[in-house]
Amino acid sequence: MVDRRKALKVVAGVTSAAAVGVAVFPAAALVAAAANTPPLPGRPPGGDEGWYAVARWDDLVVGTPLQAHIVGAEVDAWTVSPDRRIGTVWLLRRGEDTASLRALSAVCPHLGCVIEHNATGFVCPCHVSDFSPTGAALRGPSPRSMDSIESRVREGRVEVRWARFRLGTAERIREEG
Amino acid sequence: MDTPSRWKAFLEERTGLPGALSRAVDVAMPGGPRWRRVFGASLVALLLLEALTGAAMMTVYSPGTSAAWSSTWYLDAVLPWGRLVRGLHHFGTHGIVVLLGLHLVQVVLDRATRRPRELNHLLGLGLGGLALFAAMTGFPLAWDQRGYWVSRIETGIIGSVPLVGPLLKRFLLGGAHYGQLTLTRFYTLHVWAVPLALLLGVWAHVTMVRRHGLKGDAGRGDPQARWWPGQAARDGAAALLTLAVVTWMARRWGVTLDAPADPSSHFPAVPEWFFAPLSQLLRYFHGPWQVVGTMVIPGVLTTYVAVLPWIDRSESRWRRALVLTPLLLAGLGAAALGVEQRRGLATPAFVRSLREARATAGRARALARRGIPPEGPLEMVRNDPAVRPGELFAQHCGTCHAVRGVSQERKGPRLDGFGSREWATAFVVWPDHPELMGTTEIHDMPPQHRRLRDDGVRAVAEWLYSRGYEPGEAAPDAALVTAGEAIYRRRCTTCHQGAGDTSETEAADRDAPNLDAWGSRAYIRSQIVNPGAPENYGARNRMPRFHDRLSERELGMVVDYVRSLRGRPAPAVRDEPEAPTP
Repeated sequence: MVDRRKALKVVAGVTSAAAVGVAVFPAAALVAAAANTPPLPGRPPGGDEGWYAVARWDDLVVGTPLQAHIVGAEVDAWTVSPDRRIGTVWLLRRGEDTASLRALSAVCPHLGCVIEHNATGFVCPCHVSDFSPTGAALRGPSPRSMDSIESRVREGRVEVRWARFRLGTAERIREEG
Repeated sequence: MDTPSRWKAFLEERTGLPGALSRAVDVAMPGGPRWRRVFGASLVALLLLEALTGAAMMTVYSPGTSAAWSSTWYLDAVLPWGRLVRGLHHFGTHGIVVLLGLHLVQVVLDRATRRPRELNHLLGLGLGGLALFAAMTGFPLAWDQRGYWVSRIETGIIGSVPLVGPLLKRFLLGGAHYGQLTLTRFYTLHVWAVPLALLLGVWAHVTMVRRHGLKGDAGRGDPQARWWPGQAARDGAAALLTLAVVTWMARRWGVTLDAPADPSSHFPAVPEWFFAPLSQLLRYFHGPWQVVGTMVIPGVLTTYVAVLPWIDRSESRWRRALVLTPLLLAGLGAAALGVEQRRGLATPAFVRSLREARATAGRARALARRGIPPEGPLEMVRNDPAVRPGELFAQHCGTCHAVRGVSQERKGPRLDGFGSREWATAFVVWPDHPELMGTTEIHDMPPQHRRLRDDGVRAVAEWLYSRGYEPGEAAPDAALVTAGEAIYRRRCTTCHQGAGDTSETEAADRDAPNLDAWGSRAYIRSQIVNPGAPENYGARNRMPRFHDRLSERELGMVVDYVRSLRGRPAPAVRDEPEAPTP
């Protein structure tokens, strides 16, 4: 009788634990999966193969950075909103040749505030990270220089390929979505 | 002391938990374990499943009239595990309803409702009602067609309850109509108020069960038997089996997400099977008698079940059979009503509207894959690029212009094939053909076949076709186009506006439409926005202007639609009539 009682205890314990497991597992799996937001299945990449026109080459002044917004479809979970500001870049023109164009993400690599321009170069107002006029990190908590963004000039239009990078790391790691 | 005992002692001294657990499972169950007493524990297991899957879905779901459907679709179609979790939550409800029925029958037959357990029986009934209310408030949360319409019917019934009904309905809906507040109220009830009440109620129910001890089989088996571990093992096994069945159903069938709720549509709304008997009663009791179906019959039955502990007190088999017969009849009646409703649904009209609803739902889910616009899923479906342009054309243009499969009206030219060589040929050969300008009051253009001959007509038609040609279509013949343009500039611009020979008339007197962009999007757009413009039909025009009847987006869709007609066969006209129409 003692053995039977022991067996019943084991059965009771195992079945109850298994029942709780069956109830917990799918719910936990969903929450874990949702944290890594998958893209919409039928959605092509934004812009012209990821390129967005943000300014005219003629509007850029040599030596004076220009802040420009990337306007495109904003994908937020299930909603796709056309014509939203999805990012901000600083455009630098350093000469007459269009190859002298550089684009820097205005997102501070430290914690993501928007970087401003001042007399000595760039500065992030949140935690006072100073950057040189070409975006190199000088002082402050930013772990790396300002992130450069792919850019080109087509038919007088300045185009950039917008991207986001992981915050807080010395290495530049691209983040999808 | 061995290690487990040491740990036990450590915890006992500091928390008292092991002792509390031992006391918790030490519930009397005279006569020993029975398989038929497992339903209560399985109910608890399903309630746990509902709580967990519900909480997981709350990390995705968004209760707004435009976000509810979208987030549910996202959960279903995009997120891994989402479809299974929603299915578990859905079929868990079905399992709860089935187990509630079995649990009720078991406790009644086992005399487990009698003194001193009468009040716990009443509490159990209340918990059953709460579970149904939870199902009712959860059903519309996806804000899809079925959830929306079934819920509207249910709250309509609540509103028809005498005296308190209208007030109760307004409270539930957050106003007079279904909308954003209805959704947030149902959401709050479903995820907070009802679960809290259920939690407290189940706690009280179980506490009372422990106080009275489980109603065992007195006089049979061991009178000192306990719930642990014999019945616990059976309860655990049954709970596991229940969850397995629900998981199988969720994987096998899943839950369908219908098209986004559309208050302007007609939808064949059918409730879940456990509300089917009530729904079927509505077909028999109309007008002032409706309360018989919605209130009196369910009320009498509930009262009967509630007072069972007081009327079912005999041990005599025959007297019990007599007292419990209504319970059997109610079960059979409900089953019969459910079957009757199923049969009533098998009409061709119902099957057709169900098929249409399924097609719309499939289309909505397919459109959503590209992303849902900020205006919401209903706008997305209404602006379906595969359907909406045709609808707009039928609504705004089809009342005059005939198009195969859309309209038969003859107050403007037939537009099948408009923009093609064939349509241009037909027009040049016989402008007043009964399906072309013959439908209008404008009859100024004479037939051109005899003037231009076969070759001339062919060349002019090719040139006209080239005016609206877009890459991807059959390329126009360059030589013919050049020849056609030369003919047109020499022989047609006497009346038609645009560059060309105007020797026979003053430029200012030319009033026939400028055809230099004929058939192009710009030309079609101009014709729709302002057909009476000088470069179009001028003062002779009778077609209404559509500049303020269509939004910019809708206008683009209609233009797209008219462009799409180029591929269709145009009216066949080989030669002008023997006696040209005047």
